[in-house]
Amino acid sequence: MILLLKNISLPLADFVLQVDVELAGQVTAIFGPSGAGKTSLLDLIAGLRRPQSALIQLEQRVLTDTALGLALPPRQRQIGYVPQDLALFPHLPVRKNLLYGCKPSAPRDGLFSYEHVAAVLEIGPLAGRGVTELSGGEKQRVALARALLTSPKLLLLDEPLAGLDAALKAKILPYLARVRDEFQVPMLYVSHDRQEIQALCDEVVELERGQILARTYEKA
Amino acid sequence: MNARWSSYFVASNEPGSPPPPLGLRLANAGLALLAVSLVFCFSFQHLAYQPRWNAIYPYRRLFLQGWLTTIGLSAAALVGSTLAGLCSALAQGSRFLPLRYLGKIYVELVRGTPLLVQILIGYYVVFDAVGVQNRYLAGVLILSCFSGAYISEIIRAGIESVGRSQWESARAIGLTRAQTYRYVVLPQALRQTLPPLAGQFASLVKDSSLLSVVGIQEFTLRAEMASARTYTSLECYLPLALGYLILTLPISLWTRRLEKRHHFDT
Repeated sequence: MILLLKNISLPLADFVLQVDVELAGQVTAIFGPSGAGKTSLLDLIAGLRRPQSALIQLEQRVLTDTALGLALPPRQRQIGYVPQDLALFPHLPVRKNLLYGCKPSAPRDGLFSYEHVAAVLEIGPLAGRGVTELSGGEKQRVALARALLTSPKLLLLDEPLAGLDAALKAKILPYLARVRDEFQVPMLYVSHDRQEIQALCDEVVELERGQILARTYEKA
Repeated sequence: MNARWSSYFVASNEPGSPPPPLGLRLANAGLALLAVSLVFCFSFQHLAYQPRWNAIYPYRRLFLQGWLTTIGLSAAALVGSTLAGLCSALAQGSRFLPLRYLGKIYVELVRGTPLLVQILIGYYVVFDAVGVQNRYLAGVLILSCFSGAYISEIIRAGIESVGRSQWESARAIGLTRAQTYRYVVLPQALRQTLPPLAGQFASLVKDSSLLSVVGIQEFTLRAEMASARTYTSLECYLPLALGYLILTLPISLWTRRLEKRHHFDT
């Protein structure tokens, strides 16, 4: 992945998010304390917020360029986003939650087909159930599958394991690794847990009060 | 009250607890109904009035025609006001500012003035000027406009109750704004709005009685006609009340069923 985040500036409540970085890792962690601007950065990349200034480019494709007044709407960015609260649609069963993310034009038997994604994340048996009946770990998998079904070129994960207890974390981590290896989608992984990052990521960007403090590479 | 007695009259009121057995519900509802009827019996006992039911019996067709007219008017206004309310609620959430303020002004203007005045001005001034001659059409439009303002606020509150992250995740998985409304926001808003919406629809049925002032021959006007011809009063007004109750009761029962069907935990 080459994700170019150039000249990014977004005023937040008590500081300005300022980022200038080119990311090339398969799984890049964005690490930092709460309120550092991590989620805001993901929102900018997904196109859910308008920056004051930014050039965002994914593999040569310009997503946002404020200098040219260009901002692709979220649905054209080919980015899968799993927000922190997951935001599954509570009025729909699992299957429909998943299929809303599925493009009608998507190939039926490809990498990102419903069958394949459901198999990798072991969603099959949950398909008919209501979202509100699921356990925390199951919800997490459904949210992940929903994002994958959009055939994304980049996956944004906002603290996917926060709020889960240690036992559940240990259960979900292998799924995340499986997604990484099976789909080969580059990921931006927001977290403030060193252990998760070591298990999954090959690159770490440390963010604090809207500024990048350090950039390190994890040894696999 | 000892434990054996209380078991006939007491049920849990915690959310999600099962309803009491059917027999218990029927018996207690009957008891409450009995209390209400006692009040009415007492009041009517004190009335020195001999109802002459046979005087209005020949006018039964008049009542029935009026009742059917009221059903027609209400049904048409129900559709019209839902559309008006939905449009106004969406307009108020619009990014286009003139539309947003149009929605707000509409709601404030209609909610702040009496329906009677709206009917008079609407019928004798506005619709007269634009050449709408059919009083029934004018009546339906005025009533739709009136009720639509209340429905607009109900729908707007429902839309606002759907969290920001629902919007964002819908847009992130590729739904357009219109699709987000259609598939994610409105279905969730609907659940929030059903109970107040039912109340509004019941009000709509009753409010249609005011259309009698511009000579629309609905239930109330027909009852008044019968009353004037036979010099009776209660004999006309009691069937009138009953007729409206027959219309509004199913609406609230139907809503309770819908509420159950659309129920999900959040």
